[in-house]
Amino acid sequence: MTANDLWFTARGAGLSALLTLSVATACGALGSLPTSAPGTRVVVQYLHRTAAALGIGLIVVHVSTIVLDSKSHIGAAGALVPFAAHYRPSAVAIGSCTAYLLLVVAALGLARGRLAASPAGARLWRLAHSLGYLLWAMAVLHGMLAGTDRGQGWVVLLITGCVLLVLAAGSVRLLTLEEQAAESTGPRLAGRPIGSASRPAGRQPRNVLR
Amino acid sequence: MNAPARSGVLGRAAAASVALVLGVATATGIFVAKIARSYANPNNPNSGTGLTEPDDGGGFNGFGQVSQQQDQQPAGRSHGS
Repeated sequence: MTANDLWFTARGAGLSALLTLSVATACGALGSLPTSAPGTRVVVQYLHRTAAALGIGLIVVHVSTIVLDSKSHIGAAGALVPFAAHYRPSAVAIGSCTAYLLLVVAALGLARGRLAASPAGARLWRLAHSLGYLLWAMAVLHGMLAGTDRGQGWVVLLITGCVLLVLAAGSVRLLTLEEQAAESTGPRLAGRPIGSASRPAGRQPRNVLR
Repeated sequence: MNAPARSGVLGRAAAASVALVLGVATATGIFVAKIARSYANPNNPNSGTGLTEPDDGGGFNGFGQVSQQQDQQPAGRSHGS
């Protein structure tokens, strides 16, 4: 192990965390689409959870290696306390705030079963979990402002790919939700949306959240 | 969903998750190797873009060395102070 390995690992883990969190965000956007088959939805939601857990693990590696690397001069306070870093304090603060909020969103994600038991709880949970989109954007911003490899071609390609991936998944989700909203406000058959008339009697969605 | 169908879906989900873990591990290794290679090349202008901005108060200069000027200063103090 050379003297620079911690520094290289910190930066590689940071870029990898961005990639993984982008996959998690995209899977989160696609995993709850009502149009996809139940089996596909389960696989995508598993991927969403695995990617989110991996992303948080990579953030832990990113932060701990930066703190342990004495040459980076960031230190524990600089990494953990927003605006305490001497190197690009605002950019580093975006990263540390993102990490803290991500832990909150992850904890809420784990508590989904309890929180989303009622329709009101489900709405609140969905609103809180939607914070993940903002956190992903903050992670991209942190990488662009604080990243020391941001000028390299392959890093620019990586960040562009991550942004396109999430934008594409978000667009698909928005379009699907719009279609769904248009269907539900369209012509109704005996007080129910036409599309729901084909659902077998007595068969209801198992979960409030889809 | 019946039991065989459910186990099939869970199997696909587990396989996809394992593939994701392996893919991320490989990607991380590639990223670290590319960063290390860029630092090994002193002609690469990006290799010196570490924490060396004038206002950063010293730190890593991108080549694994802390400069003498930075070394003499307490960490966190800017060059002008």
